[in-house]
Amino acid sequence: MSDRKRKELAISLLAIAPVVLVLLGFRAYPLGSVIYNSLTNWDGLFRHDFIGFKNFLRMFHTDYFWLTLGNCFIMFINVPIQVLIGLVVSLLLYEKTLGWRFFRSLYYLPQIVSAVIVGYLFATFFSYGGPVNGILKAVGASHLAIEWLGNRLTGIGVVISALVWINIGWQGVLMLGGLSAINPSVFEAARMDGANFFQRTFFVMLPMIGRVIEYSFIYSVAWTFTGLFPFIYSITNGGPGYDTTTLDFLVYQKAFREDAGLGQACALAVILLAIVCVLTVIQRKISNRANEWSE
Amino acid sequence: MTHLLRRTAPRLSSILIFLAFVVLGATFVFPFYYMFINAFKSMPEYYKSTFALPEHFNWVNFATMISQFHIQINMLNSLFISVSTVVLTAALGLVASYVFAKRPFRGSNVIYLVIIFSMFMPSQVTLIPLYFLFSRLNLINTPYSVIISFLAASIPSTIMLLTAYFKGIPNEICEAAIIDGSGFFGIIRNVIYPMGKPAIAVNATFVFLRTWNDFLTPLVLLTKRETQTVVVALSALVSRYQSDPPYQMAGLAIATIPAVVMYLFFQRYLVEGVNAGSIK
Repeated sequence: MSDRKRKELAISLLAIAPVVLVLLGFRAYPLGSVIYNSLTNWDGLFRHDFIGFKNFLRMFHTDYFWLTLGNCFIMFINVPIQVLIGLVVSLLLYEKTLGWRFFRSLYYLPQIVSAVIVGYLFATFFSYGGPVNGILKAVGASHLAIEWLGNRLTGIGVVISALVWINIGWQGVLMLGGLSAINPSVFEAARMDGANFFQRTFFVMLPMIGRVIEYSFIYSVAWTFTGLFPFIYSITNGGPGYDTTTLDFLVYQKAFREDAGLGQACALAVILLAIVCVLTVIQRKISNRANEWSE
Repeated sequence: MTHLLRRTAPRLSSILIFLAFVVLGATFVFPFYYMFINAFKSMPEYYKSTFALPEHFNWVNFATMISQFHIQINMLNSLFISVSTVVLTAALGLVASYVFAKRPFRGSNVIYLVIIFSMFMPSQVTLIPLYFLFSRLNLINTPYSVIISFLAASIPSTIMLLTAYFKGIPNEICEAAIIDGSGFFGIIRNVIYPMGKPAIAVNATFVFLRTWNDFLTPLVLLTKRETQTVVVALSALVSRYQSDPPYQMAGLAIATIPAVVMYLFFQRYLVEGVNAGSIK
């Protein structure tokens, strides 16, 4: 290696060093630490002994862990709903009717507001004395005016509606981008051949934005496991009991609110990480196979 | 181009689509409308009707928010944290992405892939050790702990976006700059930065909004009221003033306004960013 080459390499290494150091110190070290501590009885103060997989086993024997995990899977319902609505919205936006730019901006608006604020708005709307019950009473359906956030089913329902509401605009913009990338002549050719709106949609557009839909699915599924914290915190606070708690909320609950032992909280964090990894891998496999079939 | 050529007379279908958009749009406008009108109400007025417009706009809720709750301090905290994160992320990301895009060396691709992979790691996973690390460094209740956490969380997506964009800059331009005598930082200043500006702007917009709105990290790392970000301070306010909904609404409105203003200015970048993939 010549002197000049060696000097260039040294500069390159120096240039990426800050990034690498920040990530090693504040991503890699905490990751290693959380995995190690999930195997200890760490309480944040005195005890810090290696106890193997006891934290995990203890967790698997509690009811609230399985309840929480079940809640996460119920929350999944938000993904197909938001993808479907987002897809329909993008197909309609693509028709470029009057004011489509304005509507695109409007639907995207919730994305730029903090999730906690959106959560508090939903909590206000569905509170017992809130506007939703107000409307129900006004139209004479007072028997439907219930404590929405006071039980598992409707509490989760309110959270899911918030998730869908906040993400429709993101899905719409993402898929409209995919549609706009299709060569318009393809679209025109289908139109010339006499394909109607539905035929164009199902046989031309959907197959061509398959990649985008797949990306949005992968992202949204992982997000459902990791991005729910602010919604749960502001809408139901996980309650009643653990009825609407999700896994990412439980990690916070165990680590920073209850004296459950940090070892257990770390174990939960590791479970969360494992689930997200597995989901990403499964999603990749499924979509790869789907692509092979379509070829 | 083609949609310009295809002149469409207003057909029934486009009228129906327009109406559907208006109905869907109403569900997006209403919560914000409700928040703003009630923020201007007094308690008796609120309990008379939550849907009606306020009889006269009284600013007392907003005034109390400033004079008693000192929300402006939290606003400044948020601003300091977000702007610092944006600047640091852009600076470190710019330099590193240039290396990954234009000066690859043996093993640089592996480092790049590991960095990108760390993007999938949720912040809940690292937060517990980070809390104890920062408390050993005496950084809890300072903005620096949050800035460092945000920086580490934002770097992977930044590098992915910028590296992809910088790869599109023609090598000839970089080589010409080298022949003209530009060194490492010269090329960045004269070629990469000016040509990469669109991607840097998209990324800065996303990092700003993400850090301004983030809740979990500052909630854990900032426990004293006067150090908290506006969103965290607000969540304390909302649970403390359960019996005063107009005051709660004023708080929500105050926290929403800066993000909406950002949106009006930088909307173009957000649409581009979503389509560049991977950012939310």
